[in-house]
Amino acid sequence: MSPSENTARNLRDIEVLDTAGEPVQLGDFWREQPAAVVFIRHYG
Amino acid sequence: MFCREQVAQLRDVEPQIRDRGARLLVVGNGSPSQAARFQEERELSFPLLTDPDLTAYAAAGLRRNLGSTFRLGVIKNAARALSSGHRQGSVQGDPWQQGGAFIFTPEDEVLFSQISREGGDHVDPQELLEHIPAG
Repeated sequence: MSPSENTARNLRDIEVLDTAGEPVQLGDFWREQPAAVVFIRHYG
Repeated sequence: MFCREQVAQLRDVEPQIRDRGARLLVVGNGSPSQAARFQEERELSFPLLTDPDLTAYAAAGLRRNLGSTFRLGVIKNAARALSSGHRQGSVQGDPWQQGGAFIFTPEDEVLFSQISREGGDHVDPQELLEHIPAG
């Protein structure tokens, strides 16, 4: 299995921060429907 | 700046992503307040999250542009340096961190995966859209 096939599982339990600084679990965003997840390099 | 360009492109296709029953999520690596300001300035209707310690970037297999020195310790040090104010100009977040794009399903299938190799090498929003199953 290539690493990309595990990416959803690798990410689903990881917490990131929302704009209020509150932790949110990434997997919550594709629990109910597909999600396009885009990682940008930085805000600029 | 291509990052603004990328976000503007994503904003344009976001309604079509929603039409297909999916959602768009953007993750950056600045501070939450930078993300909040960015979201407000750009009038973004989709969630903008931030991963200041680059844990999610690392778990997604995304590169930092430092050749073969991809190690978590290096990432953490860089994130610490950045969070303590050692950054250049108006760049917010880690300038070495590369991006990427994925489409995941509730079954944790990966319908699309693109890992950027260098700055400016980012996902074509139309290509992203094409990989989202209709309805």
